[in-house]
Amino acid sequence: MSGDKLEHVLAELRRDPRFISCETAWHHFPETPGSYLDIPDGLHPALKQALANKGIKALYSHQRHAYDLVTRGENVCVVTPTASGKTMCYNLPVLQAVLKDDGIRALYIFPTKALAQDQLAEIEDTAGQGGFKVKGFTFDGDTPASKRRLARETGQIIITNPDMLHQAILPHHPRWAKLFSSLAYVIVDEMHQYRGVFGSHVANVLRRFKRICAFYGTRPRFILASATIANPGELALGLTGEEVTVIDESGAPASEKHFIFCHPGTPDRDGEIRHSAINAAARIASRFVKNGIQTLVFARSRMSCELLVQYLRDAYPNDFEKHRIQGYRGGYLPRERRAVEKGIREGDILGIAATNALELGIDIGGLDAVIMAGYPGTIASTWQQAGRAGRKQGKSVAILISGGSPLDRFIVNNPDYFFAQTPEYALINPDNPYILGQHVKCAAYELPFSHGDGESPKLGHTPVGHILEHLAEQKILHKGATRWNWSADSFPAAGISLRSATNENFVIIDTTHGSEVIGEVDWASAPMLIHDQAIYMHGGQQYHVIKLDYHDRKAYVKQVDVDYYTDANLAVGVRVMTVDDSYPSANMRAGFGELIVTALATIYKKIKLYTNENIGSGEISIPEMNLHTQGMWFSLSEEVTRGMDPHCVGGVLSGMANVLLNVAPLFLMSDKNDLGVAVEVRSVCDGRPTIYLYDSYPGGVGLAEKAFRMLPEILRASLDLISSCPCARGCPGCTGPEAQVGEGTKDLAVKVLKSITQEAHRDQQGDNREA
Amino acid sequence: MTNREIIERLRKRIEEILRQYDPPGSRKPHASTARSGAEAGGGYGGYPEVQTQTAGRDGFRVYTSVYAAGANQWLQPTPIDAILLLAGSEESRLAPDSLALFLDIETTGLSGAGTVAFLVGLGRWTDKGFEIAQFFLEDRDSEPDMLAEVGAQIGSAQVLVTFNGKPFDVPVLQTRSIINGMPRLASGLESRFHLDLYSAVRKLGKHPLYGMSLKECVERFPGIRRLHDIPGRMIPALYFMYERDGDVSVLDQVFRHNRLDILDMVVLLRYLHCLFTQGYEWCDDSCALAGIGKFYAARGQMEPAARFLTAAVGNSHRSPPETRAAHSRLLATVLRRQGDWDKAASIWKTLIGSSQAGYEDYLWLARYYEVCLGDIRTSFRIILEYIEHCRESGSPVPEPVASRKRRLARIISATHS
Ligand SMILES: [Zn+2]
Repeated sequence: MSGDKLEHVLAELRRDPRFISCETAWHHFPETPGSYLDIPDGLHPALKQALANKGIKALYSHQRHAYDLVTRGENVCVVTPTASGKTMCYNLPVLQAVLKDDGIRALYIFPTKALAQDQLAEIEDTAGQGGFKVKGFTFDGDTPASKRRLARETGQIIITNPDMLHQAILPHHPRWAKLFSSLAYVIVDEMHQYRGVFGSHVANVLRRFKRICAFYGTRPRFILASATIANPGELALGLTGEEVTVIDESGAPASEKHFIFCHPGTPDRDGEIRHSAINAAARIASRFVKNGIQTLVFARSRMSCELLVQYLRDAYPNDFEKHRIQGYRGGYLPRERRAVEKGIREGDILGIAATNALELGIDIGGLDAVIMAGYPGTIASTWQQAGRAGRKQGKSVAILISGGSPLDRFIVNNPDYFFAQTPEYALINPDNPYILGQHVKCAAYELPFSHGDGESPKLGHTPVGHILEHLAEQKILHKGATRWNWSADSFPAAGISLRSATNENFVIIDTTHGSEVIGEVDWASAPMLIHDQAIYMHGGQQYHVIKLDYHDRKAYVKQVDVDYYTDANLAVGVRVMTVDDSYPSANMRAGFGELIVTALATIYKKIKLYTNENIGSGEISIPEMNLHTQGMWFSLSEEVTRGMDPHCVGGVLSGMANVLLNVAPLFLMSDKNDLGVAVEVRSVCDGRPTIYLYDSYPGGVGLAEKAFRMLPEILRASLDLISSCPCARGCPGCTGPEAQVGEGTKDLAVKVLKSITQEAHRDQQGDNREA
Repeated sequence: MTNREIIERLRKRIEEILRQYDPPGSRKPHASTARSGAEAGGGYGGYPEVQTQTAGRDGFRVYTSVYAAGANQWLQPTPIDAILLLAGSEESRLAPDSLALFLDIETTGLSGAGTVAFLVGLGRWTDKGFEIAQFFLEDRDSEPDMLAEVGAQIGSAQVLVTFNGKPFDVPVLQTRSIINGMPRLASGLESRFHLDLYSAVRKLGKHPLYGMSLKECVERFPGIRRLHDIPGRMIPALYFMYERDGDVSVLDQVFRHNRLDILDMVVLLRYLHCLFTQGYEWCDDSCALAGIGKFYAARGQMEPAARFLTAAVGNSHRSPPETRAAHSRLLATVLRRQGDWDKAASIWKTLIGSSQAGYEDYLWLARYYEVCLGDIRTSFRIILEYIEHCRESGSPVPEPVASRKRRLARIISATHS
C-alpha cells in the first residue's frame, strides 16, 4: 500500500518541472532476490532453535560463508550493505563456539557505546530465543566497578570500544588474564571507521593487544565487518596484521529502489545556487510525509537537524499529530533516543530528521524514503544512509541533495563517480612515527620488551629498537640486563588519545554559558582555524574566538551568529626531505616522500558569506608551525606553461590546488582538513611550477601516498570538476573566484589539466578523426 | 567547642605525642652493610629495634629487623579471634596459634601492568619480638625468584593483614605473578584470609581533622605521629634513581617508611581490637563509637551494639543535633530488637520532644503504645500529632502514616460500636 503512495509521489516529482530541472540522476534498482544457503548441519541445537524462533529458515549466502570460514579458523571481513544481517556473520560462529565450550571467550569492539548496548541486547535476544545463557557484558566508561569485576571474571563475551581497550584493558591485562588466556574471537565492526589518525592508532592498539594475547598463549581469530570501501582486505590487514578473507557478495535480497541526485535549486550563471539543501529537503520530505510515507531526513549538523524538525512540523497538515515528526541526534538522552527508535520501528513516527548519530547500525527497521540534505562526506556513508530506505517488500527511494561544498556539487553533477566507480580507500599508517612512538611506550609498560637476543624488538612487524633507545634517553625506560624496564612514575595510556596524532591538540572551550569543551583542533590547523578573532565553525554553529592561549593549547570561544567567515593568509613553505618514489610522465613529474611544511599565519580577512566581499582584516600572532609529514607533488613541464603569462601561473596553481583538495576525498575517504596543499611557482628542486598535497597530521596517515599512486585518476576528476562547474569564470566551487586567482584562470587550469592528463592529446586525435 | 579550645586540645595532644619520640638528634649514621641496622638500639617513632640482619640472595636481598614487644604501649600481639572479628568474618574459624602476616609493599607507581613491587615488607610476631623481613628487588630480572619467596612466606601464614591491601598491595603482587608466568601464586594470594585494616577503619567514620591514610589513622587513634617520613609519591623516583646509579643508600628512607607502615599496622590493629571490644568504656569519639555500634548491629550482635551506641549517644553532646538524633534512633532500633521496648520508647519520646524526629519515630512510638501497652488512643493521638505537623509545614503525609491512621481509626470505631 505504501508502495502505491510512494509511486504516486514519485510520479508527481517526475511531472514537476521545478524538480526535474534540479535533478541530475535518477537510478532505478529493480528488486533482486536473495541468495540463500542452508543452516549448517553442525549448528548447536539451541542456536537452531533460536533461528527457528526468529523465523529464519535459511541463511543469506554471505552469512553461511562467514560461518564456514570462521569455523575453519580463518580471519574474515564481511563487506555487505546496510541491513544485510551482518551481525549474524559474527554472532553465529561466536555463539556456536561458546555453546560448544563455555570456557571460550570473545571480544567485540565497536566504535561507540550506543552500538555496544544494542549488540548486547541482540546477543541476549538470540540466547533467549534459543533458551540458553551467555554471559555478555558491555565494558565502557560507565560500567560500575562491581560489574567490571564480574565482566573480568565471568564474561564470555565482552563488548567494548578501542579507547577502553587502550586505556583500561591492556594496561591492566593481568586482571583480564581469564579473558586473554581463553580468547578465541575478536569482532571488529564498523571497520571503515578505523581510518586516518584514529585507524592508525587502533591498528597499534591491536598490535599491543596481539602482543598481550601471545603472552597468554592465545591467537584469536578476527571477524571484521565494514561498509563498502575500495580496500577492505588491505585495511583489515593493516589493522589486524593478519591475512583476512573478504566476503563482499551479499546474499540479502534487495527490494525495488530509486536513487535520485539533485541540487536544491537551479544554478545561475555564477555557479551560485540560491537555495539551501535544508529548505529543499524539507520541501521534498513534506510531500512524502503528507502522503503517509515514512521518511528520514539526514542533516549534516545538529542545528540543521533541529531546523528540519521545525520545517517538517510546520508543513505537517494535522495539528494534533505534530509529534509524528521527531528529531534524532547526538545530545539527546538515551531514553529519548530509544523512544524515537521505537516510534520509527512501530510506524508511529512518520518524519524523522537525524544526524549521522542514526547512521551506525542502530535498529529502526527499513523506511520508505531517505533524504540526505547534503553529501554525507564519503561514498560509503552515503550508501549507508541510503540503505536506511528499503523494507523487505515494496519500493523505497533515496534522494541526495547537494549541500554548499564543492564536493557536494561535484558528486551531484557527476553521478558516475558515485554509481559507476569503486568507492574510496580507507587509509591508515600504523608506522606513523608519532603514533607508533606513543604505542611503543604503552606496550613497554604493559610488557617489557626484551633485548640482547640479536633480534630487534618489534611491535607488530615493525622494528622499534630505536624508539626504545629514545625512551631510555628520556628516562622513561631503563635498559636492564635482559629487558627494557618501565622506569617512570606514570601511566602512559592516560595521556594518549586515539583521536589525535600528537598530544598537542588545541582544546576549544565554549564560554557562552559557563565553560564547556566542545572539541579539539589539531595543532597544525590551529593557525588557520582558531587564531584570535577567527570565526570557528563547529557542528554547524559559528563561534568567535575570543582568545587563543597558545602556550596552554586552549582556545576560548563564544557562540555568535554573523554573516561573515574568516580566512587566514598562510605563508606556506615546503621542504622535501626525502624522495621515496617518483616518476616522469609526458608533461609532468610526480614524486612522493617526506616533507617539512612550515606555515606562518600573518593576517586574516573577514569575508562576507555568499557575496565573498572582503569586509575587514587583522593581524595574527602565532609562531611559525613546522609540520613533518608525508606528501606528494607534481611539477609541470615547460611545454605545459609555454606561452603562459608568468603572472598567471601562480593563480592557475592555486586554482588547481583548490580543486585537488576538493576532489581528493572522493578517492581517499578523508575530510578536507586531513589534507593540505601548497604551491610553488618555481620549486626549489627543479625550478618548475609545483603543486604539493600533504597529510595534515604529523607523520602522515597514508593519504598523500595513495594520492601519489592514484594521481592520474585524481587529475581526471579535477578536470571533470572544473569542466562540469556551471560558473563562467571560476567560483569557490572550482578554481576560486576570478577576482582572487586572476583573470582567465579557469580556462588555463582546464588547459593545463588536459595536457597533463593526456586529454588534450586525445581531443586532438578525436578532431583528426572528424576531419 | 570554640576554635581556641580545639587548638588548645591539639597543642596538648601534639606535645603528648612528641614525648613518645626520641629527640631528632638521636639519629645515628647508617652502617653501609645493613640498611635497617642504622636504627638499631636507638629507633624512631617509638619503635626501638633490638636486632637486625641482612641476608643476600640472587638478585634480591632480605633485610630483617626485630622490635621488642611492649616498647610502645600498642606494640603488642593481637589475638587471632580479634582479627576475625575486625574482618567481620564468622564462618572462617582459625586456630588461636595461626600465623598473621603483615604485608606492605613499595612500588614504582600506581597499579597497572607496568608497576613493580620493588620492596615487599612482611612482619610477624616471633618469640624474639616483632620481626620485619624486607625483600628488596636489586635487579628486576630476579623478580620471579623474589615473588616465589614472598609467595612461599605468605603461603605459610593463615592470615594476611594489610592497610588498603585488597585494592592495592595484593592485586599488584598478583599482577606481577601473572606477568612473571606464576598464575598459581596469583590465585594463592587471592584465597588467603585477609584483613584489610582500611575497611575496619572506614567503619569508624571520617574525622574533620584527619584523612584516611594509615599515617593519619595512627595519629587519630593511638595518637602516634610519624616524624621525618618521606612522602609516598617520591618513592618511585628514588627507586629509578637507584636503578640508574646503583646506590642503594638513596632508598634508606624508603626502607624505613615501609617498616613504619608495617609497625603502624600492628599498632593500629591492637588499638582497633581494644576499641572494638572495650571502646565504649573509654573512647569519647562518638562517631567512631556509633560506627562500631552499627557494625555489631549489622552482624546481629545486639548486646555490644547497644553498649557502643549508648556510649556514642553519651558522647555526642558536641555533635550536630542531626548526628546525635541519628545515633539515638539507631540505639532505639537496637534496643527494640533486643526486646527492650520501654527504653526504646523513651528515646523516641526524647526525639519527638527535641524536634529531630522523623515520621518513623512517630510510627514506632505509636506502635509501642498500641502493641506493648494496648493504648490505642495514645497511639492514635501520636499519629494525629504528626499529621498536624505535616499540615502546619504544608508537607504531604507519608503513606505509612496515613495507612496507620486509617487502621487505628477503624479499630477505635469498631470498639465503640
Ligand atoms: Zn566554478
